[in-house]
Amino acid sequence: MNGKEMPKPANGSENRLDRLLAMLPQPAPMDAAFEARLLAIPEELAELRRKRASWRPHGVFAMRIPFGEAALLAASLIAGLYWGAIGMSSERAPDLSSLVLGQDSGFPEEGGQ
Amino acid sequence: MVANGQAMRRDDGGLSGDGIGDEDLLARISDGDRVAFAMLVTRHGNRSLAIAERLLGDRAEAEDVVQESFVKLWTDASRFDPARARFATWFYRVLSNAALDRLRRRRRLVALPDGYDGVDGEDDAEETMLRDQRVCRVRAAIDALPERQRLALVLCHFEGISNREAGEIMKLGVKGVESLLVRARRQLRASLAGEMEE
Repeated sequence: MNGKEMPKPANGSENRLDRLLAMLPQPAPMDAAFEARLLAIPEELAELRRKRASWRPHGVFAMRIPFGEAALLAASLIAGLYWGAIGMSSERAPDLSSLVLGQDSGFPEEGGQ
Repeated sequence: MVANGQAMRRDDGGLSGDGIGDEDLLARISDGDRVAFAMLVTRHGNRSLAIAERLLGDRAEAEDVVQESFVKLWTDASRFDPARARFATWFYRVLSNAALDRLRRRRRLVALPDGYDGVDGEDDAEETMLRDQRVCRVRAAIDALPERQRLALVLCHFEGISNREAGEIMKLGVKGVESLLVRARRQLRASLAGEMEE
């Protein structure tokens, strides 16, 4: 069934509806730029596939570190963190209460003995 | 009626007379034949764009949908089974589904179609404005249709695709398509009653 086989207008309102629908502008055909975009699809997909296939890690992620050196680096890092933490906890924290105004700061006053 | 009554007419630039069927071209595409792909673009590009634009009411979105569909055509050509469907049925189903997916994702504001400049030779500004407003209302009435009714209207009324072929695209029987068309036209008559009296 094609367009001619559409249900026949029962009355004038069907014709008026058809006239209204016919007022809508026809979509323009594809322009040269869009057609070129479509025609480039195979090439672009092939290019994408080539890029994916040839992808390699870059920068620091691409560095190849020998196992021995990596282990040494990790051990140094852990040791540094460990001793840093021990050192921090063993230091005596300064007594900030002595700095509060009106209290004895613990330092000899000027002009004193 | 805008429909020209030609079933699945080709809108190519002279390539339709090459005697190679769409299905054969698709088989060649699955082997990576870019010339075959270009021929299908030429054959079905304009109609695809028209359907998508009528469904979406937006040229840029329509172009995106058509591009998506042709990407799918290129990548999934080997999956097409000519024993199950004709190429055009399969491709316009892919296209319609992509357009309807977009339609569901957004409820667009009604606007004048891109590139609509009124009627040539119409000097009366007021008359032009009235006509533009009327076009807007017709457009809005179509946009307000349920998506299946809208798709049936675009395929059968505007693109002149047969009810049987529209049914294959929409996975419906002929009666189902006819029912959608009748309901679509009834709703349009109701929503455009004011326009039809003028």
